[in-house]
Amino acid sequence: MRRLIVGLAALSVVVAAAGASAVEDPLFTRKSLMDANGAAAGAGGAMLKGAVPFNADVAKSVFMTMHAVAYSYGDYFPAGSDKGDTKASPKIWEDAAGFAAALAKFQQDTDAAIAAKAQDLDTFKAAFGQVASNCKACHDAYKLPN
Amino acid sequence: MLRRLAAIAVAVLVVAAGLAWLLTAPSPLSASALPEHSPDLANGQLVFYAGGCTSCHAAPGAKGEEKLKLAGGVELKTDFGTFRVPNISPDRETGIGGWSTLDFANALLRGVSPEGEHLYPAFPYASYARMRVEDVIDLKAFMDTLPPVSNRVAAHDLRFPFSIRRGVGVWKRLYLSTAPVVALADAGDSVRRGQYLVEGPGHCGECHTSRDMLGGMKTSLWLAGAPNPEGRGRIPNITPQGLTWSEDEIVESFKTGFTPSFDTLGGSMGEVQENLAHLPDADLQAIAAYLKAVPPLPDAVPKAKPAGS
Repeated sequence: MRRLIVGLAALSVVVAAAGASAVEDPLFTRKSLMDANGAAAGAGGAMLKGAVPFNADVAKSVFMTMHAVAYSYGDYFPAGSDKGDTKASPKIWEDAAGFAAALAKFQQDTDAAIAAKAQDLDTFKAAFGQVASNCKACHDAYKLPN
Repeated sequence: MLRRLAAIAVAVLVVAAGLAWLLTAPSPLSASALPEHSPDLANGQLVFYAGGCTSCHAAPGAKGEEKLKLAGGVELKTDFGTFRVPNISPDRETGIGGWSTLDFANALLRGVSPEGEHLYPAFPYASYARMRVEDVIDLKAFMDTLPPVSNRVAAHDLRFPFSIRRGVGVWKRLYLSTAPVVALADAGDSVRRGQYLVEGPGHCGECHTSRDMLGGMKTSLWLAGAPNPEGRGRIPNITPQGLTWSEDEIVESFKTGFTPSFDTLGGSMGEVQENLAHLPDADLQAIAAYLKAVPPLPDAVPKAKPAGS
């Protein structure tokens, strides 16, 4: 458990460090943000599977990380950043309103998950499921699969 | 002398044409090839999801019950021309509601239509040919319970010479086989079950294996990845050298749609995963065990250099 918490703390450093080159390198920044998001999901998933016991502080950290990602991620898709080593779909720019709506839903779901203040696995599971439903929905629409 | 030569030339041509005709003849199953077997609907449903019928035959993006409406109509644009996915709902007029079990078995196991013509291998019978006939019978019985949809689908629109159906007979001689793709000495039951699911109904190799110029799978590069037929990027290498996830992680990804790094399985694999999630755990574990047992190969398609750099 301690390792998990240390890991999550390290993640927030990753998120912070990403800011340093955010403007010059939006691809690096948004990938780092999504990596942090994935790692947070991994910590949550480990609790759901019972690989590690439920812990309310870790649960909070999971949602806080996702929350921070949800509210910052959308800023790193400037015009022209569809080029290079990225799986960002052109649809992000073609359907900017749809992408903004997908981000808004992700943001609201993390808001709700934090507000739920999960103190047990069942509450956490419900909140996590709602937040995680955003992953596939948004990837299918706005991320290239291959 | 000249006349004799001409006569010989004509005779050779006639014999050659006759041979070609024989060599390209469809070879359907005889009615006696079907065993006495009372259909098991639950197994038919399992085979249905293992086979991924909905991925091509239902409307793109269909969810829930809509996925069980196999009205066809999707156009597959390929180098050979445009294939139109047929209606395989049990509608008698426009679907396959009028097919006998033997008709159905011939389509899956031999790639032959009820009219006795070759089907094109865009329908993955090169994999389905490895299915147990009992599974095919169960699948037919399950599909008969699905909703009939009236939708007449136009014929394929292929380039010459691919437009000549008879030519598929040559293709079948080259690529149609019921033998296992990989030889697995001392494999246990689970690996064998996984082999059956992957090489047969699951038809994983159809996307994950590169093809040669005639569109046959290069079995020497089995599951080592392929160009993405739908455009950009590539279909990943899922031999042990490409897919480094643990067996548990592979199973988890089939069940949840999430990769170990919590990316999501996307594109066509998203559809495949939604089907696989219907399979029992033991079958998903079997698939994972088989994927760990196949020969490890380097990527058949190297990672592309990112565009614009």
